[in-house]
Amino acid sequence: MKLNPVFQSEVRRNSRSMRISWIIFGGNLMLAVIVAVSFLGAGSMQGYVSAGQYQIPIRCHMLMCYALFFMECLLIPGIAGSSIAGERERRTLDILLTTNLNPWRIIVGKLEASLSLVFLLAFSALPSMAMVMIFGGVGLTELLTEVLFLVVTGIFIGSIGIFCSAMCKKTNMATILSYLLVVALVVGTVLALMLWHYLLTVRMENSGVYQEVSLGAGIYLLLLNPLAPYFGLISGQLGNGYELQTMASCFGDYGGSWGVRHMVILGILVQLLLSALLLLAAGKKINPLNK
Amino acid sequence: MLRVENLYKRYGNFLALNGLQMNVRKGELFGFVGPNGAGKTTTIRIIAGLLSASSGEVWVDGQRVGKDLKVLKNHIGFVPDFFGLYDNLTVMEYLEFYAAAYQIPAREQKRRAQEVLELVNLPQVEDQYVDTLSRGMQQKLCVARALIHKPPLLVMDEPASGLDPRTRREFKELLKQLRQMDYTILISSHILSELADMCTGIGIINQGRMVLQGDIEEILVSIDSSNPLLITVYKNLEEAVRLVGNHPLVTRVSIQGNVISVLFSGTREEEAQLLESLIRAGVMVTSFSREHGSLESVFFAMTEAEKEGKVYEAESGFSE
Repeated sequence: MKLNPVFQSEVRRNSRSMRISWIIFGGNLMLAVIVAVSFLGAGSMQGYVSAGQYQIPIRCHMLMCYALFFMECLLIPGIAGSSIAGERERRTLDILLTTNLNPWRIIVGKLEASLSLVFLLAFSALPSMAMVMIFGGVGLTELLTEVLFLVVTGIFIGSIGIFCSAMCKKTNMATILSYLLVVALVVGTVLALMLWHYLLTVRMENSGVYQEVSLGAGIYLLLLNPLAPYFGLISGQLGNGYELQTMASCFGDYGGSWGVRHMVILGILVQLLLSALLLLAAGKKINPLNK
Repeated sequence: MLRVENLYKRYGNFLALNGLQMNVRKGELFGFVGPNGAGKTTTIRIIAGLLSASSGEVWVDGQRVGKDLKVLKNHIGFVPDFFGLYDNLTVMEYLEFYAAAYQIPAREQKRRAQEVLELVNLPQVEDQYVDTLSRGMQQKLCVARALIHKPPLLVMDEPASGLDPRTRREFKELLKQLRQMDYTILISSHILSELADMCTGIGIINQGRMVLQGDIEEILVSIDSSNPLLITVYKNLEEAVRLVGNHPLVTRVSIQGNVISVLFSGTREEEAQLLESLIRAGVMVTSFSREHGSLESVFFAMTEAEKEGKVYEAESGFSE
């Protein structure tokens, strides 16, 4: 298979850096601590853990899934944010652009390199993640779906990082902007909905009308939030499957809403679409013919 | 090999290139000089495909460079004024990476890398990390990288800046060697004395226009004949000054110690007659010759840099 030279070179360079070893070690240590706390904690309370207490490993698995998600949010903006800006600072971007690599291939190579670290982390975490399978409750299909979803989220966050990296001249600026955008999407969208709902409620109370406030189509702001569909997926697999609708009901009556019921798949599609747009914009930005 | 026609580049209201014309013949080592801000780097970046021109045409090896830069990329090896190296990569891995970037088949990459390392006299460093090489070796590696896809034209933007004199000399030898191997080289530099030593052609750019272009030998010979006559007098200086001052073909006389500098517009024969008249008048002359033209003097004449208060130093280029 013909690999992207940018990806190949980045992976080679990253593999020689101690930073990667520490990230893998730290990530797995965190997962191991989650497993240890979940099992030993339950065991110390009751004196034993039996196979019948399937909620313990399931809760443990859930925690590990969210831990991996937040590790993605923490790692990818830092790596992707420095990718193009780093080349620019090292002044190697110009040289790369004089080769037969077009801007699009450079961008894709950088994205692949950013994701490869997360894949490595996720792959190394598989033994810990699979522990839950011993006790049942989570099957291989669920595990693979989670990994697939993490890949999509990784692509989305990586695209944000690469877009910022292409737009900013300095690595620091690009990295900070990437983190800000990710925080704005993961936390900001929920806060924005809460604020919007609060303001509508206050306005309605002031006007003397008492009825349930609904944000209407505003709820679809959550499609921009990679955590929302992930939450829907995990709750669908390990919970009762209605957690996302329950969360949406805080912002109005969405009981019969097709969009909210299919938010997981819609979220994936929106993330992929936005990723493509961000990468295209980044490619356009570094294309010398646009200067 | 390279032809630039009516090249314009505008940044807002600022016209960086103003109808630039340039012609670099095959096998030529072409020096591209000009004061700071004259448009050298802009021109080189357009030629290397790193910048689009506002208008004008670039032709490489008989093919017009349009929106599709493939022609350009396959024909040009670009050496910028910085090394652009990656840490954590060995010399071989660095070259193999660029070989892959130029879509050289994987089985040929190593062999090609070894070839270019030998070409730039950098053998036995294949397994060394690039950031452990000396600056001179890093610069040679940059040239090796630019040659990896066998381009017929090398475009270099002030490649010797930041190198010590010994490394610069080695680099100059490398360029001469490449020229003998039929590579065409376009090199921009501030170190005029070095360009004069190795270049076969020269182009001087000022305010976005090419003010002088041609064969370097011809240019130096042509300016020799318009240079002042330098007459070194051993005895009877006053008489010599009186004689040359009264000569109808002399327009200016200046004296520095026992050397008289004379702006003389006569032919070679009239120069000889002037010398004869000096000797007849009892003036003892120890030397009588035209001041030799230098690239530096051409450069100053063409760009009027002196008027801008700039000083040229042979080692470090221009300073304010």
